[in-house]
Amino acid sequence: MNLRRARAAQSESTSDSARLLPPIDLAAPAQFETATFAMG
Amino acid sequence: MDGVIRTRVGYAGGEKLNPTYHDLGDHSETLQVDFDPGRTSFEELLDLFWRAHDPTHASLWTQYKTVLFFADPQQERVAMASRDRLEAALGRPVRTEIRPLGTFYQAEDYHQKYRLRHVKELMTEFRAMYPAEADFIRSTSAARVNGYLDGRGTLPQLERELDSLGLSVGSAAGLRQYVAKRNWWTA
Repeated sequence: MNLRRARAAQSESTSDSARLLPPIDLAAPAQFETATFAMG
Repeated sequence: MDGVIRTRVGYAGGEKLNPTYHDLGDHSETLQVDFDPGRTSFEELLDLFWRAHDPTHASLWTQYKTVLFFADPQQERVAMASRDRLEAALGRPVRTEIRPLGTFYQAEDYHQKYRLRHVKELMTEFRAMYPAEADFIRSTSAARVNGYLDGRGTLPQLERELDSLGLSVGSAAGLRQYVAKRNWWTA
């Protein structure tokens, strides 16, 4: 999804006060795993 | 790194409740990474982890200790197997600690996305995208831009995702130029 389409889709579905999130955030998967490191 | 969704820094490994940067207790400074298992894996993250430090030297200072934390039995199995392969390859004992995660305490806001926070032009745009601090800290775009600013990633990787980061034309060009100069050998 490109930036223009993402913002258009968002503006149609949310209020005027909604933020214009980057497409990479909108595309973030709901399922994820977490890794934790202490890196010195 | 492709597949990294979110990052945050914090404190883990100790018993002290609610540690802070200036009162860390027995915790170590820690990085937590949310990743898409369809695009990368715990094993690939471990490969990076092993390459990022000398695992044959034991850490002496708790605050800056190197530790691989596992969150569940599956991660423990993968971590131990990875450690065993590394030991076999090195022919020396791996002294990096591998231990259960326990509680991860997220660090103070000013430690999150540290590189990005110091680029005023980019922060102006991120503040517009994320009026709430918690949303900014959780942002995939912010995590990835912060990584590029910290010297991670390559120009081809940036080119693949630049249009999805939500930056203005000017800021996108500035980030590309920054990474291209740093990674001149890949341009």
